[in-house]
Parts: sequence; C-alpha cells; structure tokens
Amino acid sequence: MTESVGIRNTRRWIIILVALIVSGLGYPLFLFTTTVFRADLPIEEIQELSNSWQHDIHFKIPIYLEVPTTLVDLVSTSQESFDKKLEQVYPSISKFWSVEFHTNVENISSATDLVVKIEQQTNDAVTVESYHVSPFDKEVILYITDKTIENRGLEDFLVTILINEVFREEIYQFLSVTSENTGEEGEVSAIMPYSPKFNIVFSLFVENGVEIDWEIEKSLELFKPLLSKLNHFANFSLASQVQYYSKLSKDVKFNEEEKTYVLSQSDLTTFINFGDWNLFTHDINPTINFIIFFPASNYENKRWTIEGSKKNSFLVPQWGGVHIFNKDLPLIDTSKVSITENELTPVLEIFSSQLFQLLGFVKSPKSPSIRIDTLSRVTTFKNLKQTFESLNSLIKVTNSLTEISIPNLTKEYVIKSLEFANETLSVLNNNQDYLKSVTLSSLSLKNSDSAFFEKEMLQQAYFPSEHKYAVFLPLLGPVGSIIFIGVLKMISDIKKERKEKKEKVD
Amino acid sequence: MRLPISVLLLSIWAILFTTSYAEEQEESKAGEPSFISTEDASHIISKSKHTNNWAVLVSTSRFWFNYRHMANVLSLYRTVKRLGIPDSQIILMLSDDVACNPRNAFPGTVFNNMDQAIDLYGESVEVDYRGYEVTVENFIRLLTDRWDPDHPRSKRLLTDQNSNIFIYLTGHGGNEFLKFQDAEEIGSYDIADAFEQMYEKKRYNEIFFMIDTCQANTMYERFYSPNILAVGSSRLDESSYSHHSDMDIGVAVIDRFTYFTLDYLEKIDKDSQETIDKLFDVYTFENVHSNPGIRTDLFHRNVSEVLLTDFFGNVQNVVVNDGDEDLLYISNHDKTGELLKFYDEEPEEQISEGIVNSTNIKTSYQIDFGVENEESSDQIIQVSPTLAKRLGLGTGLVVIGLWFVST
Repeated sequence: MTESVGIRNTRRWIIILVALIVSGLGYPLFLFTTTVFRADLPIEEIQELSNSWQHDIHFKIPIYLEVPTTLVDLVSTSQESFDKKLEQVYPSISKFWSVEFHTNVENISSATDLVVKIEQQTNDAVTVESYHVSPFDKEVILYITDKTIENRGLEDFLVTILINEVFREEIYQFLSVTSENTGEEGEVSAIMPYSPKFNIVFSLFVENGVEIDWEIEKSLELFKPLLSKLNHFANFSLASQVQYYSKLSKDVKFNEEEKTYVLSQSDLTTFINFGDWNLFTHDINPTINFIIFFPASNYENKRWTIEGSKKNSFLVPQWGGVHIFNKDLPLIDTSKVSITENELTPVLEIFSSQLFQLLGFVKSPKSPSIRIDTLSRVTTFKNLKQTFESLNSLIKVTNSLTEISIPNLTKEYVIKSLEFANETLSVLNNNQDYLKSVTLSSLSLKNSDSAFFEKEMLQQAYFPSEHKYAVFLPLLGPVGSIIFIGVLKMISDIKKERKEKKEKVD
Repeated sequence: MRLPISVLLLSIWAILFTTSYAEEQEESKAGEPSFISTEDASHIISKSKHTNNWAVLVSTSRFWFNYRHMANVLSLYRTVKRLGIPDSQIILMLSDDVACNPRNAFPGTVFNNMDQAIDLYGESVEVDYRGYEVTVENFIRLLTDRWDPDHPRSKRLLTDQNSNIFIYLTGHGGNEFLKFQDAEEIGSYDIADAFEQMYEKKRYNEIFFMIDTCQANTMYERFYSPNILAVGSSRLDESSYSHHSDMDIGVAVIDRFTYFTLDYLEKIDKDSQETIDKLFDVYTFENVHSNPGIRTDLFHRNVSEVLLTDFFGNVQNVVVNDGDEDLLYISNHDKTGELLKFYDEEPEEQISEGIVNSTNIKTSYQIDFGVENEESSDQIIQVSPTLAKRLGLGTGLVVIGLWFVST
C-alpha cells in the first residue's frame, strides 16, 4: 500500500507539531512544577557593607576637660599626644576608636558626659601626681603639681591615665572582639549571648519544708534603678519564687574541724539539680537565674562554705549565680523563718556584681556609668559583627544548597537588617549616641536572625533529579515514548527516501 | 631430659600468660570502668568549650511491634536526665503509642529489660513531639530552628555556639535513609545539609551523633560540617539486632547497640571523668552482632581525651570569684550618699522593629467572625446586632412554620 505524497506530508507535519506542542508545553511545565522559589538577595550590598563597616565605624568618645585658666591650650596638645600614643600602642584599635577632647562647657554635667577635672595641688608637700575616678558618675580628677606643668608632663599624665586606666578594659575588649582567633586556649566566656530581652529570676531553694518568708519584693526595689540604667541595652523582667524540699543531687562533705559543710570546686559543677528543681525555663527569652540556697543545716546551726569564696557564692557562665545562705542566728525548728531585707541586701550586692559579669561589663573602672557606656560601645560593635556574620552565612547557605527556597520575607528581613546597620553607623558617626546605637544595632541583629530563621526557608527534603523523573515518568512514559518512536520512524523514512532518490538519479 | 624441661618452661609461661590475661579480662570484662583520679584525668582531658548541653532523642517508628525503639529512646532519655541535662534542654520525639497500647500486658509502662526493673514511662517524661508530629519536616525544622514565632520554647533547640548536642536516632533504616513512621523517610543528605546550616549559623560547639538502625553507618557518611562525632550500629547491608525479648510483653524490648551503650552509661556519674573512647570499646562485634562504625575525621579532638559528660551530662564550668563590692549601693546613691530617685522612664521614641505591615506576614490567630466581637473591624459580614437578632428570630419562625406544615 502506498501513501500519496500529500497525506505523507500531512502526517509528518502532524508528528512535528505534536512533538513541538508536547515539548514546548511540557518542558516549561516541568520546570515550573519542579523549581523552588528563590528571591534575589541583595548579595552585593551585603558583601560591600560587611567589608566596609569596620572602616566606616568611628567611636570618638567626647571628653570634657575642666582645667585651670592657665592651661587653656591643653585640649589641642593632649588630643595630639593621645592619638599618637594610641596609634603607637594599639594600632589596630586606633583605626576606629579614639577620644575627642573638648573644653568644659557650662551645661555639661559629669552625670551624662565624661569629665576630666584637673586640680592643681598648691600644697608643697605633695610632689606626686595622683588621680581619682569617681564611682558615682563619669568624673575623673587628676591631681597635679607645679612640677608636672613645668616639665610639660601634663599631657603625658592625662593620656596615660586614660589609656592605661580608664579605657584599659574597653581597649582589651575591642582587641578580643576584633582579633580573628577566638581564643583557642581561652576560658569559656561568662557573657550571656545578647538578647534584647532578658528574664531575671530570683529563686529561693529551701532544702527542707519549713516555711520561709523573704522580703524579696522590697529588696528588688533596690535592683530597679540599676536595671533602668540598662534600658537602652535590653529589657529586663524580674520574677521571684520559693521552692521547698529542694535537695542537692549528692551529699556535701562535713568538715569536722571547722564544723561546717564544705563545697569543693568539683561539687559546684553539678551543684544545680536540674532534674528536681523547678527552674524557670518556659519563656522564649533567655533567663538569668539567681539562686539562694537555704540549707536545712541552718537549723542545726552549722554553716556551709564554698571553697575559695568569701561571699559564699559562685557564678555559672551564661546561666546565672548561686549564693548559699547561712542564717547567723540559730533557728528554732518548725517556727516560721524570715529572711529580712537587711539580710538580702548583701546577697543582692553579690548578684548585681554577677549580673555585671554575665552581661559583659568591663571590670574597671568602678563607676557603673562609665562601664555602661563601654558596654554600649562594645555591644554595638559585637552586634554589627554578628549581623554581618549571619548575613554572610545566609548567602553561603543559599549558594551551597541549590534546592533550598528563599522566600520574599527573607529578602525583606535582609534589607531591613541592612537599613538598621546603616542607621547604626550614621547615628554613631554623626552623634556619638551610644544608647541609640545599641538599640539600632540590636534591631539589625534581630532582623538578620529572622532572615536566616524564616519559617518558609526550609529544605523540605532532599530531592535528587532522579526523584523528579520518577514522579514524572508515568506521564512521560506513555506520551513521550510514542512521540519519540514516531519521530525516529519519520527520520528513518526520510533517509530511506533520499537514498532511493539518489539511486534513481544514479 | 631436655624435652621435659622445655615442656615445663612452656607450661609455666603458658600458665603465667593465661593468668595475666585472665586478670586483664577480669578488669575489662565486667565493663567496670577503671576509674582514675580527677587530677590524673585533668592531664589527659582536653577542654570542650561548651557551656550548655542539649539532647535530641528520636524514635521514628510507631506500632506495637516496634516497642524496642521506644524503649531505646526512653532509656537514653532517662540516662541523660540522670546525668544532669535539664528537661528543657532535651527534645524527645517519639510516637508514644506503646505504653497505652491495648496489647500492652502492663498498661502505662515501658520496660527495657525482661527483669522489668525500671519503668521508663514512670515519672515526669516530657515528650516534645509525639505521634504524628514525628515527621521529617519537624525534625529538620528542629535542627535548623525554623518555626513560627509562637512555637513554644520547650519544643525548640535553642542552642548557640557554646552548646554541645547529643543526637540519637533509632528506627528502621536502609542505605542512606531512615524511615519516619512508615510514611516518609529522611536521607543522609538531609541531615548533612541541616548540620551544615547549623554550623554556618553557629548553632553548636560539638555534635555527638548516634544512630541505631539497620545500615546505620551509611547515615553519617554524607556529613561535611566540622566538629561532629558520629557512631552507628551497623555497616552497609548489615542489620542491627535486638538484644532480647520479654516473654510477658511478647516483643523485643531493646536493641543490642543501645543496650550496651546504656549498660556502660549506667556506671557513669554526673561528674565522671571517663572518656568517650571507653564507651566505644564496648562496641564490639561480639556484643552488637554487627559492625558498629565510628567517624572521627570531622571531630577536632582526640576521642581518648573527650569526656563522656561533654555530651551526656551537664557539667558546668563555674567561676568562684567575689566580684565587685557595693555595685548596688553605687547605682542607687549619688556622691553625697543620698538615695537616687527612680522613675519609670518612658522611652522617648519608638523605633519600629522590622517588618510589621508587610502583606506577607500572616495576620492569622485572630478570629474574625462572630456577632459578639464588636471591636473587630475585620468581620466577614457586616451585621448590626439588632439586625442579627431579627434575622435569627425570622429563621426560627420559618423553621417552626416548616415543622407545622410537615405534620
């Protein structure tokens, strides 16, 4: 049976059309159903900013000099020698960290700004310079003698006091933050990971079941001014609880000679009985725990001591603090005991010192106001560093995992995070506003975390290409094979015809 | 004469050898860990720089005949809890369908040994993901911490760069996959990629990954992130076996690999100085009846210097120092010794915290229907209460009318 040329050509056209329609519709459909949505992250912007922010950030701490009228040119000369000395001793820090001297203006108070007062000693008996950093506000007083001025040593003295005393710890913190190696041999850091909100929970764990009354609510009033000074750094919520029958997980040795129970260093590592004690763990924000342990031996008038601690307390890094409470007066069994505000105040002193350590305050100078400023600066720097670390790891993860989806929300969080980072830098460089910069940098950090932890960004399951083909094979098989064989047959027909034509011509 | 002497020497040597060998055997056989003093240990031990410990314990099977998988996981739960990891830092995922199974001859209990000494389902077992919540998706979400903002803290793995995590999986597996409840499976690539994301986001200091399934060793071969120590119960094409059955319960109660792990950990205290290689010593073919695998190339410390409590306990570094004096006093008083007045300061300006009005953020969790909810402007149908009452009355009358018509 032969086929007319017209029908043959129509048949071929049909084959080609069907093949075209199937592949032309099917392939885009296949792509559409198998691709995962990936929003375009502002990769270049992130990389640019993460490379440049350490050069763009400038801390210029304003220092107001209150000097006798004879020493007016001190401001410019000390600025010069400060910059010189810093460059000499800490070249890596001097790129972004410095101070700026001003003459004392009328409305500057040492409560809000760092003031250096220079007092000339008129008493001839005093021949040595000395200094005093006020623990109550931000005031540094330098006591100088006539000789200091004669020898032109005043600038040196001022600069030395500032670099080696007032800002020593701050410089060390910046050194450790900027250095690349995270301290292989170093001790575990006690500092809680930064969070814009913290819970502080004071727990009284009583070893036996005799009722105890403690005036914690009154005492906590003392804590509030301290926390209100940290408002810009983080929010704190306070809570307290009492729990009875709180046993330790193992017995404590009794020292017969001193008639006391002694907790050794190794006992402390497992002191907190996580199995039995009801600790506050359900809030999403991190909790700082302060525990007062009230041993039953208080009723036998036997004291507990912690080896190596004068204040009977110890710190658990990134977790909280513990104090063992010894009642000074002998107690009578079964009668209600009370811990008064006066007894609690020294304990709260210990806890506030521990809180400072947990939040990452520097150890010196003593003044909380100066320390809070230092903390703000260091935290801003750390937050920005962490922000760019997580944005960079987001890029790295999305690049290496080609199957992971990137939702639009992630992109929005990234943009928001970059905005806050830029804002932090501008607030810092233009106004030297450390309080606002902490808040802004923490928002930048928060948004970068949200970008990384966006719920929709989930590599649902590993789908290799074989999986996709397996899913589509029932469809591809029947349709594809028929078309494929049809095309093959058509090609072989055409070849055959050409051969025959050639033979005829020959 | 020569021959007897040599025979005699040989026999003496043989006796000496066997006795000394026997002594050695005796020391190690009982599994009795040869304890060393704390001071000696401190020379050997390398420091792990962690401050907190977490455990993720997953049983991926369900149904009665997989009793042993739940017993495996509950036994390890009990052990890590005994060794000091707080419940808030243990994520327990299990189908939880055997304790109250109608086939259970001892309702409300789960035992891991035929002596039925320890009821694993006894007191305060906090299951975080139970039943049909044990899915691949939830497991990956758990590791990468990608949840709704309102996901409870107790169900999240809130680790940071100071966390050591112990991850234990048990169930039915095959070559590079682990089955989740007969419905889906997780591949070795999935876990490896999840770990990589955790590493990139600094979500762990070290991970100890333990898996007890058939062909378990194939599951950790795809890992590529640093600081992961992995052990598995059996090689490619090998099965993992159960240890023994309890005739009263009627099914196998524990797997061999897990049995010997627990058997060893049972002798460990909260502040033990035992190293992790001692645990690996019990993973012999004679014990497990398959070839357990240990992968250490990603782990930067030597296993003979790693304490078991770095993963199974919660030994906290403590700092005994007396800190600053009088901070509270300084904060509350001024120079003259007067008490500072404290005001509840209102923040001057509010900075908007990121994306709030985005259309992408779900505005769910708000019930937007109902007549009583007058404050809500998002009501689907705008009906005033009086009209609603009239409509209700009308509908009631129609219904009553219909009832009359039909009778």
